[in-house]
Formats: sequence, C-alpha cells, structure tokens
Amino acid sequence: MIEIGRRSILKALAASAGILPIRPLQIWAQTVTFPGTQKATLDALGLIVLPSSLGRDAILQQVARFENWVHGYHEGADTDHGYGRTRVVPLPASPASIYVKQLEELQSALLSGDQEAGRTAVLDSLNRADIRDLTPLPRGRNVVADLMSFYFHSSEANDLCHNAAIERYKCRGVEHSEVAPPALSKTS
Amino acid sequence: MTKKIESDICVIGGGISAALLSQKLSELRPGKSIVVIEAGKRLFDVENRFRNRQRNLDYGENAWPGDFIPDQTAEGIISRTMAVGGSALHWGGTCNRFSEEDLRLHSLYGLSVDWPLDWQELEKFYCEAERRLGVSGEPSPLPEDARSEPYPMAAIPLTYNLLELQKWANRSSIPFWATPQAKNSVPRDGRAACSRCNTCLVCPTGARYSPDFTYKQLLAKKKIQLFDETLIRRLVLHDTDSKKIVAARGVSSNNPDEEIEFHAPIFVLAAGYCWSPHLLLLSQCSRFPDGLANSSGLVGRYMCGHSFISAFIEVNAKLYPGMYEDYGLISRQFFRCKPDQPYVRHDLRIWESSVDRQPRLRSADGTLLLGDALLNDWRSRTQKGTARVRAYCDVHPDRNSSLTLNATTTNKWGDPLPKIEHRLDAATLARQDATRAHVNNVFRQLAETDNSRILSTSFGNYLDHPAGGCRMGNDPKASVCDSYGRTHDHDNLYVVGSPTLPHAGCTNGTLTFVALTLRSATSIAGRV
Repeated sequence: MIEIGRRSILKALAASAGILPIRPLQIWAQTVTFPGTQKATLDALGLIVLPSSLGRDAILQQVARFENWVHGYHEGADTDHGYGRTRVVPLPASPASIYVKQLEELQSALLSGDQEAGRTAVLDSLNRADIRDLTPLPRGRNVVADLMSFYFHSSEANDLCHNAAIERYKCRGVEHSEVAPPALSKTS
Repeated sequence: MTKKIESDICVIGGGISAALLSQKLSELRPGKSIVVIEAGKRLFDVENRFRNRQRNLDYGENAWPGDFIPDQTAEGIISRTMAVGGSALHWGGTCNRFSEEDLRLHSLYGLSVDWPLDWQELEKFYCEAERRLGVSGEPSPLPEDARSEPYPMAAIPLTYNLLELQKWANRSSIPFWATPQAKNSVPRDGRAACSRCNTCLVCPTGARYSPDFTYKQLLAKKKIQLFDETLIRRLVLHDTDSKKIVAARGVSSNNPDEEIEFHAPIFVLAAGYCWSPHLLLLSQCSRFPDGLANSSGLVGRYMCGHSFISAFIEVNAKLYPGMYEDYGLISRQFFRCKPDQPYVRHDLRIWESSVDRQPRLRSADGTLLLGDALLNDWRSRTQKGTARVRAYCDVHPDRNSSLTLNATTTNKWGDPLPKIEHRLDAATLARQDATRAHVNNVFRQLAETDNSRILSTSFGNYLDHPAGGCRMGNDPKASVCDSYGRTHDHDNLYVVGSPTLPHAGCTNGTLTFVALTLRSATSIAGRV
C-alpha cells in the first residue's frame, strides 16, 4: 500500500522515533479508540485533502482504510534494519491520541458546513506544524499530513496520477510487462 | 556440565556460504555427518511472508521478525541479521561477477594484492554458483566477460520502464543490459517464477533464492544437523598440537546453563566478514595470544567494501514508477582500466525511480497543495521520468581497516563485541577526487545525450557489500588463509566466503563469496 525505498525507510523511522534506550513491550493493544467521536471530522477532512475526482464514496473508502491503518499499528514492533544500525528501532507510540486531539481542534471548522473555513483550518494546521512534505509513511506528527501521505503514497494514487494500472505492489507476473501498463478503466 | 556433539565436518555460521558449502559437501561426501551451527533462529515460515511483506510496506516493520539477537551487535557497518539464512534472507538477488582485473590488481596496476588463484579457475565456480543459486541473466556483450557456460535461465524480461531507460542510456554509447539475478525467470528447483511483486528484499513467492530453502531441503533429506540459536564463543586448540582445532565451544539460548562442545576433524568458519574474524580474535590462548589463525596479525585487518556514487537523472521519456523497482540494468564497460591510464574501475547501474516524480505538499513557490491541486501538480511533473544511476567504485583497504574487539561493549556472556572501522589505503585516497570526477563525467555523458539533466548526485558515506578480515594469499605472513580458505596456522580450520576477499571489487559480492566457498568445498571434501 505504501511505497518504500530501499534503506530509506530506516532513516525516516529513525529520524521520527529516535533511538530508544529501552525496547518497549510488544503489546499491540491501543488505549485510544480512533477516530472515536471524531469520525465525522475525519471524513470531512478527507473530503478536503483527497482529490475530489475520486468521488465522495471512494474518498470515504480511503478514509476508512486510514482508520484501519491506525487500528493495525503495532507500537513497539521492530522496524526494518540495515547496515550500520547498532540498535533495531521500534515503532514509536500509536499516533491515535495525537490524531484525535488534532481532529478535535479542527472539528468546528470542518463540520461548520463552510467549505472555505474548513480548508483554511486545514492549511493553518499544516503551517503551524511546519509540515514541508509528505513522508512515505505516516509519522504521527499531523493527522492532515498523515492522511495525505497515506493516500498519495499509495499504489492507487500512483495509478490515478499516471492513469495507468501499474499496481505497484501487486504480484503481477512478468507477462506483458514490456509494454506500458494499460490505462485505468473509467469505473476503476 | 558440557554437552558434546560429534561430526565429520563442523560448519560455524548459517548464512548463504554455509548453506551452499553444506549442500555441496553432502553431495561430494554422502554419509559424512555435517553439523551447521547458527547463533540466530531458523525462520522457516514462508507461509508468513505475504503478511510480513505487507506489514513492512504499510508500517516499515521488519519483514523478517526475530532475525536478530538483541545483545549480539557491533559498532560499524554490519547487518544486524543473525538467523538461519543470514543476510541473504534480505538480499536483492543481484549476481554480478567480478572481473579478471580484480584478481590481478598488483600485477596489472601495482595496487593492493593479487588473489592467489586465477580467473579461469574462479570462472568454473562462478558457473557452479549460478547453477546452484539459480541465476537468470543476459550475457554481457563485452568479449572480456566471456562465459564458459550459459546462464542457467534466460533473463527476466525488461519492463517497459527499463526498455525506455535502456534506449536512453545506449544513446550515450555505453552499452547496458539486464542485471543478472538469483530470481527464477521460469519455475525451477521447486520454486516459482518471478511474479514481479516489487519487494525482492522480502520475496513472498520464493522466486528469489534464499538460503533457508537450501537448509530446509538439506534437513528434509537428513543431510545436515542444524543447531540454531547456538552461539559459538571459542574455538579450542589441541593441548599440544597447535596446528589442530579440537572443538567449538558455545552455548544454546534454549539451555543457557549447559555448555555445548562440537568436535570434528574439520572446522569451517562460515560466519561472514564480521563474526568470522570476531570468533578467531575471541579464541585467543597462550600460544595464540592475538587470536587463532592470527600469527600474521591480519585477522580482522584489511576489512573492505566498495564506495559508491549515485545520481538521479531526468529522462525525456514517460515512465510508470513502480513497474519493477528492484530490477535494473548494468554496464560493465568500466570494469577495465588500461594500465597506462589513471586507475578507476566501477560498475554502472540504472533503475527506474520516482524521485522528483512524487506527490508533494508544496509547490515550487511554497504554496500548500490539497486534493485536486496536489494531484494536478503531481501529474504535471510525470511527463518525464527519472533514472536512478549508481557506480560501485573499486577501493582498496588499508591494513588498519580493522575489526577489533571492543572491550567496552560485551554481550550477555561477557564476550567483547566487534568494532569495525573501514579505512582506505593511501593510493585509494590519493585518487579519490579523480574517481569522483570520472564518475561525474560518466553521469554527464548519460544526461547530455538526451538533453537530460542531473537532478542530484551523492557520494556514499560507507563501504557497501563489506568483506575481508581473513584475507587469502599464498604468503602466510601476508594473509590468514590460502585460496581454499584453509588457515595457514591450523590444518583443520577453514574460513570461507566473504572474509577471505583481499578487496571487494566494484560490484555486488555475494556471487563471488559463493563461488569461492564452492571451491573451498572441493578442498574440504578431499580431507574427510
């Protein structure tokens, strides 16, 4: 679902998580329900930051997949490792509680019914957090940026951008790979 | 209390070299007992690989859970992987050969040392290594790269992206072709053909060779006994005969209170460039106060690898990022260097890339982009493609490029852990600027033919594909082992694979490690 360059993800994770002195216990339970009472806010956020050309239903499907991503997050799970890493970096704490807090801050603007007010609040959130770019994987810093990273770095978004069924991480076989991938069908 | 295990051949280390060594020995000497000892676990869970791959893609989790030992690490450039299969569990499957020049650096150029074997001899074992690993490849068009046997399988077809990149690159008059891979292009050896999953570091279908397949086959046929989660802490010298090792002494993490001793007429150290010299240094005794096999003082010296220079180059062609990012093109045009020219040797590789074609949050003027605006900006930057280009450059280690015992860091058994510090020899340092200038010129040559532009260039800050630490040679004063890996100091102790390399060439080393190991097997088989 998410694209990762060889070895580059290690640096990204190390940068976001730091090198923890003690490995946390590998307990996958999360203490905060996501999105909790902020389901409507999260959906509204998706409708602002994801391409409208997807259509409302597909946008809400992507938002639901982001929720599942948060639910499936395993705090403390060992991350990938490579040359020169004297410690294996565990995944940092679940971003669920940070996301819920940020959604609460955006709630009134996003649910006001005023599209422009919602958009302004989203831009303010990104500017306040000084988010410069979309990381290959959500990092738990800002729910707006992370929802966008989650979608725009997905195989589906890559296909949409190129209007081609590249299907980056599908085991596709090598037959016909010598020709350009077929254009997306209008229903896909 | 000490548990004793007897065998005919005791192999220490459970990576790719040990796997293929054991396989070949079991064929050459059927009926002889072979014990393989690995400090890490056996991860024979191919059924979990799709799931683990997905967790790796979605969250960056380790696709090989449990493939390391928390307190068994080192300072410096090492892979943390300690498991049955070793680092080759994770490898990309690239199977390039070195070239004849690598074996004759001193004779041809007055640099470093010559290897104690000739190219024709090594080439036979390259062919065998390619057969055993299952390499698919396209022969090099250069006559100097002539092969005595065809590749076992035809190359995996180049994708549309790679065909476009090949057209682009060939306009520079530098020929490129498919990089050979230990990946099945057709079903072979009970494994599937490549399905282009695009995650070769964890191949979920088994199309890419992984040593765990060999171990499973050997165990199923009862060809070897495998002791995993067993850390060898010392090799034990005979009481009076300094030429003879009598035991490998260690401990199993499943029964830490019991010492375990492995006895055999032949011991083979196949634990890679880090843990092989480390064990020899740990095994110091009154007759070998600097460690076993170390009368030359060269155990843990001449640690090597190759430097690398990378670039991203814009290409005037529409590409579709994600068709097959782990497969690429190679040129071996720069493997050779005329002796009367300034010395520079390197491989040249090209892959598809999405660098500069990624979605971005801010436009060039810093404006935040959301939704359709972001998508439109992204689309506007995908009419051209990006090539990832890299050169692995031949560099040579200084004697003080070292692996030493770090007394300040110990494992739970109190053993000092290794510290690796790579250092280049004076000749390499003296030509470093010229090497960089040469490679930059090659990058420019690629870019200029198409009016392309170089987006970025970077110099690697470590040595890739590390090796060395027990280098081979004919002179016992200048090397640790002979060309078969037999240590000069001890008749019944061999070191195989990556530690024996005097220098690491200018391309991926695994095929060479395996070829040398298979050659060692012929010598070892003759001794049992």
